[in-house]
Amino acid sequence: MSTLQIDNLSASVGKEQILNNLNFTLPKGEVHAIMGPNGSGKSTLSKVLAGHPDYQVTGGNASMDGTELLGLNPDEIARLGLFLAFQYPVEVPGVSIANFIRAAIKSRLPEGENIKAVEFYKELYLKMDGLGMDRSFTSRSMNEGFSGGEKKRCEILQMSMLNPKYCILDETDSGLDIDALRVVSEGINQMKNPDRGILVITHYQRLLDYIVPDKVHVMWEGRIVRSGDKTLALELEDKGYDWIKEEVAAA
Amino acid sequence: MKTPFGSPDFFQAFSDKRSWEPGWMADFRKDSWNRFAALPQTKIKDEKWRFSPRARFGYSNCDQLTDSPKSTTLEGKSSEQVIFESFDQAILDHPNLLSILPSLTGPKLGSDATFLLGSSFSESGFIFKAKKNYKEEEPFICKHFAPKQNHSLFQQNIVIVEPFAEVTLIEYFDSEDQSSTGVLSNLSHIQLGEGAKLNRVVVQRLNSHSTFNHLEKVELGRNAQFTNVSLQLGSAQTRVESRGDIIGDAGEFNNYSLSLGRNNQLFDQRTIQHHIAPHGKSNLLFKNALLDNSKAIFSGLIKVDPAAQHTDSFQTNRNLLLSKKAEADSLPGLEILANEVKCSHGATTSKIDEQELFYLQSRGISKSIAEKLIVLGFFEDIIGQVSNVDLVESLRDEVSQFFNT
Ligand SMILES: Nc1ncnc2c1ncn2[C@@H]1O[C@H](COP(=O)(O)OP(=O)(O)OP(=O)(O)O)[C@@H](O)[C@H]1O
Ligand SMILES: [Mg+2]
Repeated sequence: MSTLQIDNLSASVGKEQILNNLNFTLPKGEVHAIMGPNGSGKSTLSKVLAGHPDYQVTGGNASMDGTELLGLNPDEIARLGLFLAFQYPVEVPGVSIANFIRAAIKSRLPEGENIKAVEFYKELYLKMDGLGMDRSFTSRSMNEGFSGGEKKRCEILQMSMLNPKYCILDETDSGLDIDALRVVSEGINQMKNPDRGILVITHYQRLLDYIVPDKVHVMWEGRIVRSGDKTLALELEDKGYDWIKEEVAAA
Repeated sequence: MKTPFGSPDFFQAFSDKRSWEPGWMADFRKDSWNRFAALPQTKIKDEKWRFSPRARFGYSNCDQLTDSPKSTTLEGKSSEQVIFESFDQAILDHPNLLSILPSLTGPKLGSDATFLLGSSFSESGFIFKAKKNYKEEEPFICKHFAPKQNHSLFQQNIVIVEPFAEVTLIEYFDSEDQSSTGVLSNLSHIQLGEGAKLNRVVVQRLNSHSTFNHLEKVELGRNAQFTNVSLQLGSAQTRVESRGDIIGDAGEFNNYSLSLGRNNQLFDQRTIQHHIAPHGKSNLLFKNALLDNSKAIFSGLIKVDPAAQHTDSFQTNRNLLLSKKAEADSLPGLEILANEVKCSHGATTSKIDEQELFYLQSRGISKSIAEKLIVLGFFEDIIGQVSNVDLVESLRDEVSQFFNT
């Protein structure tokens, strides 16, 4: 039961089928990686799980610790404990990072209960320091005018403030410079614990040197077509995806 | 305009009630009323009322005048350097200040009838005068109240900031109850002397049955600086007419306004930034966020006279629609007769961004709170124009409150 469990999931946008009978299980306490060619459906999978209204689920199930996710509103899914660090974080003009995160935390509190401002800022600053974010960022509008790397750090900051049960990190490593990759990876590693499942979507083996996955999956044409341990990532780095595509075509 | 206010008997009865007033005031009223009575029939097609469901601004259902709404309250540091008094009190105490009344013209942006009715029948409002060089950071506060059921109330405000004085004025417009249908019409005449500075904030939260007419004319002397921030949150319908005349060299006129509408609320806004003298600056930003069936109209003109060289003038209207049925009409305009100027205007209307909404929701924030945050974010560059941090926080709360009720 303590899993993020996806069975035969199919989803489309408009007339186009993007996920095809996808199966995937992420147990708590583990770190999994999904790799796969551009356009194979990785971001679509993460957005479908998060409840994005643009996608229609055409079949299958997705549950988190036994609770069905499909059909819930995005905010309900998030409050149940799923966090998606976006590949392309959205700018929210005029809403400061601090107010944004406060609203997100408040949404998890019982009606009428308030956040203790002093403790909130203490925790926020501590986590920003850890991620190498300047404290002045708290008053800046969410993602507005942020560099690519700043946006990614800000996603991890939100994740660490919200204590999710399952995290999906969609290409959090792209756009990060070499030092930032190390800092952000440390931030993610600190989130590892027996009660949390982490899924990283990435194109690069480099990230997996820092965040060592228990399993690596390959996605192609909206399905997981191969799974293995961390050596699979090394193999892909070496040989590319063609051999897998060929195997799938042959099967 | 069909109203009982045009009947000679009605005016006579009003004059009798005000028999304590000195003759010059009675003459002014009489003259104003004669001009009102002589107004031509309203034209069917009037550019100044384009897009406006004009009938909503009539007085026919509010044909009684009130002299006893909850009275206007005035708060602020008392000083030899300041006059801050109710309109009625000023008639007795400061006839010289009110002697300018006959020379005032109002914004002239379409509501001539309301202007002349206000001149004829005004019974409340205030007079504010800051004397030369007087500087005070603490704001002066005026609380206005809307009239009772089926009543109209006309107000006159006269604000004079003498040379080099610097002051802040906050005006609240409230209803005493949530059900009265009343019309509150406020005429503000604001004059800034050389180097004077006025920060003014307007918070309008009338009940959802009221009509609000807010007519103002601001005149700026040399190097004077006027900054207005308006929050239009209440009323069933509000008509704003705002004129800023830059009469002295290098005057600066800043006009920022936000409106937040729901149900059938209507915000009809007409503005002019008139550059008469050179080296002036003006900046106008009107933002409207509209829920349900609410509607906003913005019509703005930047007018630069031939003598007003080296003018910098900007005008922007932005509308955020939160519902399919909400509607915004925008009529930005330029009339530039000088050649060395920097002017621009622009208008945009957009729906709430679905990706933005999803992003907030994906963090656990409910759709309604996400919309509130997006609207607050949309208004941030209006509210952020206020320099007093406590006041900024309270204005944000005003907008938040709207979503909680
Ligand atoms: N909202 C959408 N509208 C139209 N097409 C979409 C939409 N979302 C995804 N697609 C299409 O679905 C396919 C999968 O896209 P997706 O973003 O999931 O790929 P990905 O595996 O994340 O790729 P990358 O590695 O480049 O990030 C692509 O062909 C994409 O164009
Ligand atoms: Mg992707």
